[in-house]
Amino acid sequence: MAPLPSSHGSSSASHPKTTPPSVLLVIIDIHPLSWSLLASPPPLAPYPEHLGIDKAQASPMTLPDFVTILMGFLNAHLASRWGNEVVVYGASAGRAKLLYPPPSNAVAGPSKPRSNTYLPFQLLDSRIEEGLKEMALEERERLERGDVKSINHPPAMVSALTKALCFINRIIPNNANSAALMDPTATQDPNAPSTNGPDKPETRIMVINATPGENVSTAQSDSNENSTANGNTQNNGEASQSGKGGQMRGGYVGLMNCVFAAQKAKVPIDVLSLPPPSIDASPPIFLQQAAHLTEGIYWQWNGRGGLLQYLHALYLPPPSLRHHPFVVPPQDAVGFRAVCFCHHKTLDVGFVCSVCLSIFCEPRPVCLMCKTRFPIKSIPTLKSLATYIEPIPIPDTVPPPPVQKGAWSNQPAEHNKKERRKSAHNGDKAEPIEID
Amino acid sequence: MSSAYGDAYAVKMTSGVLVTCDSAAKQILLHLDSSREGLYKFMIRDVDETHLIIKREYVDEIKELLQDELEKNTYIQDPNL
Amino acid sequence: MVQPSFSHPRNDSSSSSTSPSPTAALDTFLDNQHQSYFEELYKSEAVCLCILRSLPPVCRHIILHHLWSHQPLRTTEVKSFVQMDVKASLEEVDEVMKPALKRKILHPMILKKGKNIWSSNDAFKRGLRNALTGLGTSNSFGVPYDRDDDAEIPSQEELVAYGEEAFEGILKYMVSSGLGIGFSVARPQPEVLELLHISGLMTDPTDETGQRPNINRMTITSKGFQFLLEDRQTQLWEILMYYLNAKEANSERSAEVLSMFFSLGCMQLGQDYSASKSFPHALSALNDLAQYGFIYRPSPDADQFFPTHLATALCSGDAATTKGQDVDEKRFLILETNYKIYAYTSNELEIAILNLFVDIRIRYPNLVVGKLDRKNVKSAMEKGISANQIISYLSSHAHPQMYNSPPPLLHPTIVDQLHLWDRERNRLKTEDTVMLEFFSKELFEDTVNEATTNAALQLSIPTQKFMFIEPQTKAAITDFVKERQNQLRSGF
Repeated sequence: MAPLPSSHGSSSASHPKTTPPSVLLVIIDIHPLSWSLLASPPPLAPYPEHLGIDKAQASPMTLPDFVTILMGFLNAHLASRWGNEVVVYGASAGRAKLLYPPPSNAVAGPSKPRSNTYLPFQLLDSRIEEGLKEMALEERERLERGDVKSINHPPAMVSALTKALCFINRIIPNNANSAALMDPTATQDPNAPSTNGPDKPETRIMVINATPGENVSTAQSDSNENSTANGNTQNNGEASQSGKGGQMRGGYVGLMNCVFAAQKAKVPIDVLSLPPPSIDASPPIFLQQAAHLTEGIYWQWNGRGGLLQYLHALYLPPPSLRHHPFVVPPQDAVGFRAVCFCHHKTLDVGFVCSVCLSIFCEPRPVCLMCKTRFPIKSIPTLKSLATYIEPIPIPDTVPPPPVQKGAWSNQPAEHNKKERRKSAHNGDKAEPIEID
Repeated sequence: MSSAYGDAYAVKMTSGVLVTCDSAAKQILLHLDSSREGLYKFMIRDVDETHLIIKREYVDEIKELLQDELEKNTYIQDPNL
Repeated sequence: MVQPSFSHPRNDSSSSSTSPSPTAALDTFLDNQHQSYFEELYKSEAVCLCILRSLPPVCRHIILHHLWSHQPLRTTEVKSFVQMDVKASLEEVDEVMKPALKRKILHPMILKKGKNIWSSNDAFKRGLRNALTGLGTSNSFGVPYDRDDDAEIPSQEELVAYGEEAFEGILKYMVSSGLGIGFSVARPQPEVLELLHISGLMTDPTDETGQRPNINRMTITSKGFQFLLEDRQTQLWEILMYYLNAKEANSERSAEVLSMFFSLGCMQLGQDYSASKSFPHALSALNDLAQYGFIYRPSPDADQFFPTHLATALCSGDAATTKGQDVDEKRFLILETNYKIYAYTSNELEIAILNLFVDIRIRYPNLVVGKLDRKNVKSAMEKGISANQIISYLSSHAHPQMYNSPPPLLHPTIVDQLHLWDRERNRLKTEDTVMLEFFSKELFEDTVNEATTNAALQLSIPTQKFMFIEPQTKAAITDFVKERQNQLRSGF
């Protein structure tokens, strides 16, 4: 209602008048070890370039605090349009679970509506709270049973993503798939009948990552959870060579398959990475790749508070409004490195089977995946050639934003100054790219 | 209004009702008018292809006459076919 | 499929004008309210939520984006957010936020410390924040009724059926008064009839003055016919706004009543609420709404009430009022290119409405077959129904099967024909005029310019030096002509 007056030929006339209902699937990483890190962050490095940002102190983030913020955000998503829906998955060590909506066979939600809360908000909030408590309880039971090792599994992102994609596939009927999965131009189709037709929802996935890459991978190697809490400062140095994005260890193929499925279905995967730079010097590159490939938004929290405002500003607009008319925040350069199938190492340079495209860190006479035999004679040649390959500096995948669009750094609240940390950093770091 | 009628700056004023219509409808109106005599003529001025000036008191009458005329020229399918 | 239709450009423009939002009546009402009225409204969190949702998406997201900030909204911020050129004029950015300005969510733009800003309305901001966090205190989402656990409550289906029966009863009464079809319809309550009369949907033809109508002898007006063709939500809001305007005309305060409408719109179907605790200041209005089927009360003087789907769907912003119920039942029409209509319905009301412009040939228990023909369509147009209204009725009730063929939904042949029939009625455009004939080109052009600037010009034909002006401006133009004549003559 109240459509924009179309009398003027200004740019506002081209703004869409309606958007389809939007389904937001949130995956929260609730790995206990990661959250213990976030709750006691190390002091932030000074940020002399911008005094306003530097003044904001590092703010610890506990899971209950964050869930409160997240609920505010999810309520705002529900509030922004009738027919908007929310689905929440929790991903803990090695397992993922649907938190909201409750399964249909579950007993009906809370007893009584509150007179000052919109009922859908109340149902969502109380159910998420219950669900998180249930998961925490299960986690504790697992520990009490003596299953200490399981806590060192990385959060089950792949499992959660798969569930989310299945959910999307279920709510959007298969035959309508290509048309239903949002094409932003379709909604602005001037032909009247299409707007009168049944509204097809648009979907997006939002991954909230709390796990810093290198810490989990080290935790896995020495299987001692204490080392994660205090070991992060030493790890930062070596992280750049060894274990970037190590939380995806073993799940790499699964994750990438999910990403490609989402890409095909035109479902953007937004990624919010919570560990601030003081905990996690390198971004979780595979999640970053996921956001990049599906045209989602990737952003890393700077550890200085203001999260609720960031969530509203960056992640609230539905896909049909992103790019046009709204601007998308500048994305950092993405490292397109891959993980080898043989040792699960992150590679700059790898060897790819010409038959099944599996990636290996060293030349092999027989492909481990498809068992293709390669001429044994070629191996020494390959090895010698490989030593000559010099890593190529990658260009920024996204050009730095033009100056006048830099209002992302003009956020009003004091600590809401968006920090463009990475684009400054990565530009001179010259990350190598994978070639083969 | 002006003293000398042959004056280059003379202006002639006429009051009436301006009718705007398509040219087909205008032809029907002209036809209607030509079949009338003396006082019953309603046209004051034939302006151009799509405009006419007519007398105010005949407006409703000729609207009806035009509808009747158009009705005669409309093919209506026999409902029993 | 390429449609070689000459009407396409016109369709586009007409579709935007014929499918106004269902809340058009509400928008018009709100557009005419003052700041203080909104301050009063925004005390309720439910209102804030509903008003937010009623904004166009771009404006809505900017408001949400800005919700938790402590600073006023800056124009530079909005410009960069919607990718507008930094040098874009202030009017242009103001245009983007105009819907919010009209609802007094933002105060008009001011220049402060060298920056152009809109400061936000604190009442709205607080209300919306409280709506999202549940920290409000105004009970605007309804206080649940304290009932015994084993008390019997009506199911959702029963509530829907109740609301539907009550509202359709009123519509049926309206149709039957106009067509003389023998519905056995109960006459609505006197208060309802009164409102139908005040709103101009029905009138007493025997009442010459329009002052003392006999409300039991009323027939439907052309406005009433148009009302029947609207979709359900539009009808509901129109009725509510007539009700509100009637209240205002009695110089009663309407803000609380309007805020109650929004609260009802945020309530849950199947839940019961306490009337005295939820709406202590609008109890009588709540009673009135019961007559239209918005709420159901187990007994007439009970404090307990159940909102029906009519109420809970008020703010849902979609044409389809409720899940399941309406979406399927309202899509029953198949229209073929040979003007035949197949309506899969047994709803008396829908058949009566179709009967307004369709020649109904065959009736089966669940199917009506008819034909759109010139005679019936034209008689509908005599009643004041326009082609655009018929078209929007046909497309909003189109059977899902119709969506399977390539767009447009309604075949252009039929749409064009309806427009042509509509135009046939108005082949003549008549307006009072004074014609001026000139001999001098110079004088002619001067006079045309003068008339144009004073909005007095109806038409000018430069080749013949004719011009036509509004009769009431004759004196002024005559004076001007005389003056110019003198100037020109003395110039030689």
